Amino acid sequence: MALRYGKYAFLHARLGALKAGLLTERQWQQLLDCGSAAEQRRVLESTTGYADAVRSTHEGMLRALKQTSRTVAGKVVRSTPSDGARFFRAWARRDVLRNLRAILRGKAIGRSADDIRAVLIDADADDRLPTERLLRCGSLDAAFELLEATPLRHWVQSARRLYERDPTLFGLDAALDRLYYAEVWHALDRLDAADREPVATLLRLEVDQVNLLWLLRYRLNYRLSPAETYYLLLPVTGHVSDTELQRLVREDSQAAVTARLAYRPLRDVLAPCASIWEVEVALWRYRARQARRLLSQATFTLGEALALLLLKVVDVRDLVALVEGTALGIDTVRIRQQLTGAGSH
Amino acid sequence: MVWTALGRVVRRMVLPAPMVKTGMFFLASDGPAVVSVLARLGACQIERSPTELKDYLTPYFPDEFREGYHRLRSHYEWLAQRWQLSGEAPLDLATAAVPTAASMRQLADALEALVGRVDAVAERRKQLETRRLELEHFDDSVRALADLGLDVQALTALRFLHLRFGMVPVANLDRLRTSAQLGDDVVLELGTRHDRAHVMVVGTGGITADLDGLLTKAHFEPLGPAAAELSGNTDTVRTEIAEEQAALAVKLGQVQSEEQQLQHDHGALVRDAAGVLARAAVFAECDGVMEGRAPVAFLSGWVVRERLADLEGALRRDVPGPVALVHEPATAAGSPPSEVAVPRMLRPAASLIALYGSPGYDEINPALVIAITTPLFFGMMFGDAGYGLVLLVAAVATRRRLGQWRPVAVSCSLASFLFGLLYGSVFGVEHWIPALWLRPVEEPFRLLEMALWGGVAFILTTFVLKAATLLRQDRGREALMGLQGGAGAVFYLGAVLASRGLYLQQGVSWAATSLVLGGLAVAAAHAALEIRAHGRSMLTDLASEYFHLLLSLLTNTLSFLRLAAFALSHAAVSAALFLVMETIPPTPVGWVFRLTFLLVASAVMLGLHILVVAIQTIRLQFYEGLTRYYRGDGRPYRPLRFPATTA
Repeated sequence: MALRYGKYAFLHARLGALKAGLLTERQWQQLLDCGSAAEQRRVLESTTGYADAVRSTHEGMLRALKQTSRTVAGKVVRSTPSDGARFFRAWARRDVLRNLRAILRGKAIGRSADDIRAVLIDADADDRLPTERLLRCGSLDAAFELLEATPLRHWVQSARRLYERDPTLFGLDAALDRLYYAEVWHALDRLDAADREPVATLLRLEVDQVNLLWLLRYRLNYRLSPAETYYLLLPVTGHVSDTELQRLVREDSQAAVTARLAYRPLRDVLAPCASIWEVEVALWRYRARQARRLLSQATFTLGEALALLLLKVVDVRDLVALVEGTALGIDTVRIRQQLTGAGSH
Repeated sequence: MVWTALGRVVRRMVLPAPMVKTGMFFLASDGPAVVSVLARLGACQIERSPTELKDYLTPYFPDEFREGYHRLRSHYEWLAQRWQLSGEAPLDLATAAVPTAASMRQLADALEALVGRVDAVAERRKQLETRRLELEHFDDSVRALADLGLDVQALTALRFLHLRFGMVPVANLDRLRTSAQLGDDVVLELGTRHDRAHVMVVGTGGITADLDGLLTKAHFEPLGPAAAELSGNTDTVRTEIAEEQAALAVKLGQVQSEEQQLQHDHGALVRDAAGVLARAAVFAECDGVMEGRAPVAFLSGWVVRERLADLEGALRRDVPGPVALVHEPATAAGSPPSEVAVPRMLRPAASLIALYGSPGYDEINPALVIAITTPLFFGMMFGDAGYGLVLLVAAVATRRRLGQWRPVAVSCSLASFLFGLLYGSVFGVEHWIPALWLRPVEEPFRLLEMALWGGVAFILTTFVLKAATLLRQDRGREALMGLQGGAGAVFYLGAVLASRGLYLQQGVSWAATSLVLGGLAVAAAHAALEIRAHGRSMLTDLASEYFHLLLSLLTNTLSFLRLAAFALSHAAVSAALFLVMETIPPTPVGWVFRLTFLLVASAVMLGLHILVVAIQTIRLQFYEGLTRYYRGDGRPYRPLRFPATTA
């Protein structure tokens, strides 16, 4: 126990400082009460975590906001002992995955390099994604070919084979997700048993969220068979076990899937949801609540760090929804329905 | 004469070269010619931040050039990657020029045609290799089915059974098996080859779209020939496979020769493209920087003052149209880049400084101070003639690997050797040679005192450097009267002398008192002037600055005790090592153990000492040194120039 306190003392202190960068319920209320984007900027300028991000144009601000969670992840990695840092680096590669997905999707539907670039996040140099060269590729095939000559080839080859046989964008997404989570789980397995459990608590929920959402989309939106649906789910599971997923894929309605969930907290959370979108929001909110609870317990574990990173992701996700919603003239009530963090209360 | 020349060299090493900010107006069509001149001379760093003219001019860059450049680059990269082209070809810098857009377009067209041909051959080769792989797997499957003794023809003839043979990646097999069970299908594994598993998928009823979808997602590759042929005539099928494999091998050989021929015939063209791209890259760098209003274009940048005349002459001579060059002396406020002539010997010191930050335009480059003091610190902390000699030999032996760090390694090893002679220490043995100065273990307090005096001298040097920097920044009063400059140095010297007097119980001398009071009085006068000039808000700033400075003077000075502490630690650890060794009995076997122990322990001690002492040296340079007189917020001078090679 004492060893753990010693090992994570610096990380804990750093997290304490980083916590101040998360928006409080009061700040969210102020943001939602703002009548215009300019007022929102003023409120954000007074915050610790986003003051720098808002000093730009609308598009620049959205990019900078997305960048803040990456910056926090970098700080957490640098403050964590090596084995934990390895895990967080694997977890934070979701940004590379997001960029890769945006580029491949963009190439598949023929978007211009500038349009694709606008939705990318500035990644670190060690992300090994040759972004500019990819953007210059004339076709998806050329992009695949280029990627196969990079260290990301293991991510790409499988996705490419699948796409060539089954040219659907969701298939590409699913393939990338499967590879990403397999890597994250591998990194999790390499942690000490004492370090693993607090992290796994939150990660299981994330895996459940991905699996359940894909399950519902495959079955209800894309009308895939139970066998295909099960095949495309993640190779790792959380609270919803593999056997349970095999049962759930046979259901053909959202209500039936929810009702057959064996893990009660998830069943309770999802019971009132009427659509897949509501399921997604409910799962994000549930994960954010769990993360907030873990963070407030000051456990001196890696779980604390993952909780902070998750809350930062939630914060940024909500802020982007708020900023974009306001720009599109959507009313506050509807924006609030989309929020999943402190602003949803 | 010699002193003047030496002074000039030192001045160039210490002070960034004076710059002028230049603006060049020229005909837009002359853009490549202007940039060619700049890149050949390497005398101008293009300014990337917006100029004062941003409201009057708009970004300008020839679209034709941009398009040609990107097309050429894209085709070149494709071919270079496909043919694994490597190696560098030198560029003739004297005659190098930015290529024209038309020549790039022509080359891009040629490469595009080549890409098409190479791609077509590669596609043919891919198809042949896929077929070769298929046949290998098919052959395996035929054997596997024969081994099972299944009558496949009979199975396929069943009315309510569907059956498929094929391969899936081994990694997907378990997942496919479980998924197929959800659709009441069974996946049977017949065997594996490399990363592929040969499988038979069996189920009731016909083959559904769902099963097809699942198999596609699992990367199932069905085997070519019909399953019916597999029953009863295994030998015939295998003979046919062998015949087709032989035919394929011939075709693959032809395709490979075709590929080699293409590379042989057109390799020169691709290498030409590398040269053209290297020359075009300097102009492409100006995309987004060049501004203009037709037909005039504008570029701004920084030129070393003494090279301005060369640049003007070259522009007049080599650019067909007129070029109007305006310039003004650079000031620190304009954030010009810093060019400091660093001789090869001082490059490691400059690299060390670069870790901290490049010198600002109005700063002094501390490379010389770092280069002199680093070996002194290292040698004093790790003074051992034996180990120093070992390090020196190792540094000379690995000089190629050390690269630019060679001078540091050699100077530190030499310093270690010389201090070893001064300490009379060889491999930690203190009695083999006489000490030319003192033995750390016998006179620890004298060594500590010398370390402190060394620290005092170093800190006084930092005052001088800070004052010189302030003078360079036209802050003469602060340089002389500020606590970081002249007044601070006087106060510090007085405080050191006063402390010495008190420590030696000799009382504080008048000289020391005068220096302390004089320094403080001048600093106070300076503070008063600052407050009068900037208002009372300066009071808290100055109070906090002075408090921090006084405290840091104390801690920085005491920090130099480590120079002696590590010398003592080396002597003590060496003594301990010999004591432990002597506990081993002096029998023949014992001597073998003694020798082994001595070698291993010495190697470990040497490694640890080098590591620790190097860290302490860097710490002294950075924390006790650079933080006191150096800001390091400049940007290095990187003039536009053609690359020396095509890489």
